[in-house]
Amino acid sequence: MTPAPGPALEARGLGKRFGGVVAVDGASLSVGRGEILGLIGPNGAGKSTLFDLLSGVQRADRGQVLLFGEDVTALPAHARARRGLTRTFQLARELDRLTVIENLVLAAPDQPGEALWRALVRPAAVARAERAAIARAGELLETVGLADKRHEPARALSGGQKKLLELARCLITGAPLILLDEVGAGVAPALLDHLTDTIARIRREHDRTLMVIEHNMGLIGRLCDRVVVMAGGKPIADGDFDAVCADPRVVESYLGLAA
Amino acid sequence: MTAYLVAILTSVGFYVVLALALNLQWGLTGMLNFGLAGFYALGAYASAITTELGGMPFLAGFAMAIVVGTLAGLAVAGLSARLVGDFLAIATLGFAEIVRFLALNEDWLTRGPRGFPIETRPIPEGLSREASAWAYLGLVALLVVVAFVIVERIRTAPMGRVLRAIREDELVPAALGKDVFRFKLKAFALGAALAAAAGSLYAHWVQNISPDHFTTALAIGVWMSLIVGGTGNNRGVLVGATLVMVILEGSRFLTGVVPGLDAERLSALRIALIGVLIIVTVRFRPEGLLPEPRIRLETPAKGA
Repeated sequence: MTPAPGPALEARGLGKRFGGVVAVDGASLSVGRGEILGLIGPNGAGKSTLFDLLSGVQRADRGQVLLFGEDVTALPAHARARRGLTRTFQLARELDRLTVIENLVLAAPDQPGEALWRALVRPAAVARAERAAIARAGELLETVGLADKRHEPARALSGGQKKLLELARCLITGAPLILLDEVGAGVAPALLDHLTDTIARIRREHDRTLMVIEHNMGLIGRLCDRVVVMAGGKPIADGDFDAVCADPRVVESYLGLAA
Repeated sequence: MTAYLVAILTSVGFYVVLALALNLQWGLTGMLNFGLAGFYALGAYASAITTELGGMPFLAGFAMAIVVGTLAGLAVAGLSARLVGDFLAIATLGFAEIVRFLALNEDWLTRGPRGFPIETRPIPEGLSREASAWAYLGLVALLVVVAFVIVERIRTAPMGRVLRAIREDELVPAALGKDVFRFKLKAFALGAALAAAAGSLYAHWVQNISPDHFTTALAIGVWMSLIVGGTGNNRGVLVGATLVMVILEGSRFLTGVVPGLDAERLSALRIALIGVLIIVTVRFRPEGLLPEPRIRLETPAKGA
């Protein structure tokens, strides 16, 4: 990615309704390059739906999504991923019957062996790219601490390990922008610190921009440069963690409920 | 007896090719296809029409079957691949019925229910009855080998990994930048082409085809082969197809051995045996006789 001015990701007036329910109601926000943005809010605030609209998993009814300055509103998920946005899911979506390392190698971009004729003919380039992807995946397994699970089927992992696997899978795509949906949900406390450290290290060492949905305020406080609070389908507050926590609207709509 | 065995093996061969095609679509990619018999029939009729009405040689008919099968596969998948599981199943079932009814009613093209006699043969003229039976078996074996190599190479290639990822949860490969729709189109169309190729060879082997050769019951037999043999495992599919065929055909010899068993009872018993086989498999070995092989991706040694 050539560094260019402007935000990594921008939402302009995004809206989505399901039948009579307005899930996202004119949401606008932007994520700066290299930033870790936290997205918090009560259940049903529309956070995950917003992620779906940003990543192209669902089409927005209205509004625009700009990815590195390009309007990607009409593009499906895989095309947005190719342009540098990938994501994890609220409930970990590991590929059950693929091994842990296969889950990663799958995500390596531009594998020549994915084309039908190359899969059949197997020119040398296929094996070369496959070797490189496997080596890279092996390194990433070390990074997230799953190296000893390499050949396990992914369904055998614990909840936290699945989250780590998803994180590593996003990294190998090379996408500069990663959306993490409830990255700490269902993760054992002992693993949570490891997960938080890993995310912080990824930003430092791999130069990624991250947007994180999370209910664990400790994780958000430690990790995020900036926090956006959603309620009723749109952002109601935006600022650094301490300022947002002190905002009376936030206390009333979200934090107050948790207390 | 040898002649009978050669004939059985030949029909096992057609079954195996169909089962490999289904393994590509369902076993690897997770696309339900209940209309396999439709693509098989399409290949048979496309080939027969090309050679008998068009006066072309067998190879032209065979090529035509593959082209028509691919196009039909692209059309069915293109129109319905965005549909999930059950809806694709219904769409494909509908397709097979449409093909069958066309074959039944468009007499001018297909000769309808009376059957379509096929004179063109893929083997040299003047062979003895026995030699030509062996020659047909050789051709079917060749088709089996080609189909096996194709599906097995796809399975072990990065493409196969994407297909298996789509089978597990298609949202994930999409979020990772894979064009899921295109992969599904390719897998489905290639499976359809293999089924049509098998149909072509079948037509020129039996030398008289009619719509009741291509019923949903046939497709169910192929599905059974997958379930019993091992969905996702090409060797398992080979074993499964052979086993199902042996039961279907071998039970013939039970008349005369088992007292009180007439032909009518036997055909019912045959289906019951298959049913028992399925229940036993699903109960005691749900992945089938040969489960999907696990692929071990090892990091190559430095400097290798």
